[in-house]
Amino acid sequence: MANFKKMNVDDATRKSVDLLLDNAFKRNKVAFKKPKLSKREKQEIRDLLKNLQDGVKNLTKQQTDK
Amino acid sequence: MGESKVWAGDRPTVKCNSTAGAADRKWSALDPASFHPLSEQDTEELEATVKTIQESFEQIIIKDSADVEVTTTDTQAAVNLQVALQAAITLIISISVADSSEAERLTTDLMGNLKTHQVNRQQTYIENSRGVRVTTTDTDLAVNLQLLLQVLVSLVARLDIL
Repeated sequence: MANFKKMNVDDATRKSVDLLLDNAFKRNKVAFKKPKLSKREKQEIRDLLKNLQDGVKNLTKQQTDK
Repeated sequence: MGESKVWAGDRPTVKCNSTAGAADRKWSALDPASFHPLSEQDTEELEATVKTIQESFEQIIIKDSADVEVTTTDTQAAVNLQVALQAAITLIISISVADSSEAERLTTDLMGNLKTHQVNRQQTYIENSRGVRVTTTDTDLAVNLQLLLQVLVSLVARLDIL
């Protein structure tokens, strides 16, 4: 039950953020184009995202563990 | 004792009645006439200093106590992480939007939407105590980090590289 609720909240958050971004692009009349990235560049972005996710996870985990 | 070094405005003045006599320092939550050691502060003055987007202030006072363990949020680390997330968002936008002025406008707009007004002020006073464990958290910072991360994930997902 708790997992189900969490999943719903996560989905809602994801959807809200997606809508926020869509709206920001639309309002500023900006087109989002997929850039041509090399394999290395793609990997670097993935690594960056992973590091940042871990950083946020560690910080929030510290707070909830306490 | 933990004190944030993240300041964008004037630091609020917090006075502690540390020079008061022992009789004055006895505080009881059930006694309306009792004088709280931190109650001298001028809250109106504090409110006036809150003009910035994000402030974090924490004060922990421990007196005449033993075996006291205090754990606080590393605000500096959290703020560094926040800056890193903002930089990553700016990066993804700048490589995905051809026109640099459009990218800048979009980033400014987006960051403006994501800004939350944060004021975290915590005061903890421990006196004549033993075996106390205190944990303070800065929920505002954690929420802001989660929000920035969600935006970054959504942007990276649009690049189709995940």
